[in-house]
Amino acid sequence: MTAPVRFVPPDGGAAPPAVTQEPPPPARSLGPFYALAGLLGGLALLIVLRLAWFQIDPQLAEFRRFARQDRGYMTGEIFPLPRGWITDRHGRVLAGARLAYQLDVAPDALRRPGEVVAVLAGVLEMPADALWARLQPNEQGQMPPAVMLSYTVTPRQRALLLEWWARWAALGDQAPIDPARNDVFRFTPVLVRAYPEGDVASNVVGFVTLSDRETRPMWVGNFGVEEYYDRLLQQAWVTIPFYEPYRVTPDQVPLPEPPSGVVLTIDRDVQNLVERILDEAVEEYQARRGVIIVLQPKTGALLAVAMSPRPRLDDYESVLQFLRRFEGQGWNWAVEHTYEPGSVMKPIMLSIALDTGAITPDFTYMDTGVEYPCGGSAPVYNWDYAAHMEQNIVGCLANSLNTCFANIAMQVAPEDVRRYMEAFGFGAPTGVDLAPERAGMFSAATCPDRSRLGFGYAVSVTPLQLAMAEAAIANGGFLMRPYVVQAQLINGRLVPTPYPQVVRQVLRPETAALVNDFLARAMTHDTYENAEVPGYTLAGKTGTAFNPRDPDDLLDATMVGWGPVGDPQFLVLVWLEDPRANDGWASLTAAPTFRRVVERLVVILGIPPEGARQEAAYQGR
Amino acid sequence: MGARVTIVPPREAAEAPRRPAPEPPRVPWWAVVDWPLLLVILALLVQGAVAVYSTSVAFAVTRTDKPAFYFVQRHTVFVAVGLVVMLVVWRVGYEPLRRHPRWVAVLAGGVLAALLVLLVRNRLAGTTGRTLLGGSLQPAEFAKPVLITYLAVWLSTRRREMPDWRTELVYVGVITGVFALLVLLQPDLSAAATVFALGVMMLFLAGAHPKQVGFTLAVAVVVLVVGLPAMRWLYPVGVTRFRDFWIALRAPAQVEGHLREAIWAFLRGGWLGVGLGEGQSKFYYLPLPHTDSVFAVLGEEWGVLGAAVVVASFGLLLWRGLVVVQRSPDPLGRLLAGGLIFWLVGEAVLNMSGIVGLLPEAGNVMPFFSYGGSNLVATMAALGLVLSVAGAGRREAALAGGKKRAVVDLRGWNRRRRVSRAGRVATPGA
Repeated sequence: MTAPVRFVPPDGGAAPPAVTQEPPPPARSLGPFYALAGLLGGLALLIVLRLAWFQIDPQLAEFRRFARQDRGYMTGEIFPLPRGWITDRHGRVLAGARLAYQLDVAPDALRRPGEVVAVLAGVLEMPADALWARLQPNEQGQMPPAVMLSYTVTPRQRALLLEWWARWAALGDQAPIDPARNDVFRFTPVLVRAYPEGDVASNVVGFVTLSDRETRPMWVGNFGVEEYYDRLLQQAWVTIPFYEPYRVTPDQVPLPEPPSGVVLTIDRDVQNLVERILDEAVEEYQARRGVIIVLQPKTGALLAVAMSPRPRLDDYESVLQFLRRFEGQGWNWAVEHTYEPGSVMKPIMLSIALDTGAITPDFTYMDTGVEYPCGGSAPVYNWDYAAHMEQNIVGCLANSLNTCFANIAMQVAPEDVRRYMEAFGFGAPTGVDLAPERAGMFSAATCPDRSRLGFGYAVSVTPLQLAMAEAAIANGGFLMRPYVVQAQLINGRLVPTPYPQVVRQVLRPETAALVNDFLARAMTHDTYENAEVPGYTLAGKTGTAFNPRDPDDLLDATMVGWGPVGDPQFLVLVWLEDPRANDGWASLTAAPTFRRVVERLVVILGIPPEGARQEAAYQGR
Repeated sequence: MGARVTIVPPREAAEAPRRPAPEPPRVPWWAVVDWPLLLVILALLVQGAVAVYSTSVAFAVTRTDKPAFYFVQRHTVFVAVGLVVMLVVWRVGYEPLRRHPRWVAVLAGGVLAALLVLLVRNRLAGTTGRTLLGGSLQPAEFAKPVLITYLAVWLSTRRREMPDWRTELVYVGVITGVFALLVLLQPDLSAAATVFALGVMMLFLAGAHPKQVGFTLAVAVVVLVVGLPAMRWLYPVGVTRFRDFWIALRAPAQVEGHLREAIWAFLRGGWLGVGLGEGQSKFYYLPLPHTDSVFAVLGEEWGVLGAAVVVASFGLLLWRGLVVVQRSPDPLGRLLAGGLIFWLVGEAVLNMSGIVGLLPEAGNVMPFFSYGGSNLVATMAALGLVLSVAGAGRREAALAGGKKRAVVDLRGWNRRRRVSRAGRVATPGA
């Protein structure tokens, strides 16, 4: 080393070279390293603590809630996929989708709003004064930047409006709009429900409304299949991310296939037929409303659930009118309306009594026109207040003797009455895949209640509940779960629903066969002449119930029937509320309607009459 | 290794002239590798690659007209090049730095020349780019590790020639100043400040005289006192950053701009994150999501948990660096390993602190995580050097502890011989 050594680095760099046997290890001054590492490590720890504090800082509570909302609309172009389709059992679309546009108008871009509103009213077929009102300033006197006028603008209407816009823009200063603005009309593609079959099965399908609770407007199902299967049918979005250089406008995208859908058990032909017959019946018998259910007793599949009157789903005004007129009474009365059914319950009590052994098949009853099941109080009279003398079971059914069935009901142990009524599904929802559903109720607690259960009072049922209980008799004693959806389309694959399902066995098959036989024989009686269909052995029962507790004193006429007995292919329930014609007797209103349905139903279902069947069997031999 | 003289008796040499000279005992290669350090590096590379994948695609499609995977493809190439560079530097080792200090000077001169060329080109062509060779080389990124290397070599060799602390400070100041000035003229004030801080750091690590520390502190105070008020005219962006930092520290809900978006991202992410690739802030909200703001995207997608893992990875890197420094056999290795590791971890920590609002944003990038080829290659080269220092330390330890041998170390920086303690007797005849 040549330079004079004066500077002594702190690690003793200038210490004289000491050559010893065992020199001390060099002073490793690692202090600065530790200090710097400690500084950096501490900062790193602070970073993590800071991040954790962000998540719990009370100052940021509002910000946190806000930040966790979706910002997804910035990640790509979002296109709606149509809501899942609803088809009938043969794949005919009951509720599909069509492309429409939401129209937003910028009011401040209109120089002469009158002219624009006139054109809009003509193209959109909307009342001009309503449009005019929408384009006025709000209560605070502010003009909103954009006003939504319609979300069902068809592509043709859109083309017309764009043409008008171009024509106006060409006028320059004379234009009724601001020609420099590019947001006078804004069209956003939306996929709205389309109903190719009109109002067929509208009560089963339900309707959709545009929900604004979500971050994006989406369709939400209300009532029926739309509500029950809302999660499955729910409209989805495809996000075409900005990852691909994407220069396509939304209307250039072809309407995608819906990823989901449901296939109903409803047969559009049967449904249409039944609805037509019901409309006529409601009009002819001056009923307030009516329901007809057609189902397969062996599976519980609903072939038709008709209702009259019913809304047109493609006309939102009609839906609103319907809801206003029947406010508080539900959407689909087949599952939402409960009433006291009356005499149609007699087969139920008969099968209970036979199944428990309370009476034997050769039971006879001496009718004196009045029965005192609970001592002196609560006497029971017949519908005609007449005495029919000695009658067997067929006679009790054919003449619909209240006295006889009050007597039968009293012979069954009270506990058995309750147990069997529950087994038949009364007082509990049927579990049908329609929403919402009401349960009804019954009472077997007191003696008068039990006696009234014999002829269909002290119990409230929905038409579907009643139909399923009767179907259990038709089906050899097995209560089925009713259903309307036989398959779901999930991501393009058809997945069957887990139906048919047996809920439970209610009756022994011998009892059911016996009751079927009694009912079929009763049907040949004069009182059922309106319900008979030549060539087919049918079993059934009418019921006319007066509701003294109802302030309007409404009358319910019901007829349940099924056939052919022994191999039941269909069960038809007709319910007419308050028919004014023919004094409302079910045998004169519901029964003829039943016959009209069955006459055509056997043709559609391809059930040959018995004579033909025997003939075919004979020729085959 | 240092100069080793093997005295071969003439008789033996005559008898066996082809026999190789007794080699220093071999240490198997796997015992030399600092496995934890290597694993941390690889883990950071993987984390960084995932982060670049997630962020750069969003950036490419929303704010450039490049293909979506343009940056991802380039980053893949950079990772490959970086790995090769790391392996080469590791293999070559840091010994040549000591033996050929001129090469270090040439390296430093090269970087400075590149910076100068860039400056002249920008002035002549009227451009403002920071890259050479068609965007593939960003000389400023190499300035920092090269400065660290240069100062490490200088401080461990030339230092003892210094007559007093003032002279040394002037030397270090001039070296650092030239680097900082050329970076400042890019113009890149924050990078220049970082370069300057690195120079001070190296002096500090090498064991600064208390008066040097005092002088540096005084200069820093003067710069702050004069510079902060002047920043309004000289560097208005800095004023904004400082104000945002100050607001974010007291009332994070009221902060505006970049920090607001970053906090938004952290809040959206929550504890566990919204999921890999699911982040939304990266699309329009965060500026430069693939470079400067990458940590915010990580916080959104991986949550506090994932961000903590990232911070912990850098912590592991810091710890391994410290272990390497402890085990380093010589001051050059100590300074090199310490300086480079502190530089990398420091950049990352400063970047993250800026994003979370702990410190004003200083424009640092996050090594491994920020997209950028020059930065990644420089990082990997630096880590190659650190790995070689670690290897030297482990070889030393293996030789001293594993097979006890008397090894005379001629590399003592204070010209004292370093002799291992008398251990077990070496195998006779070896």
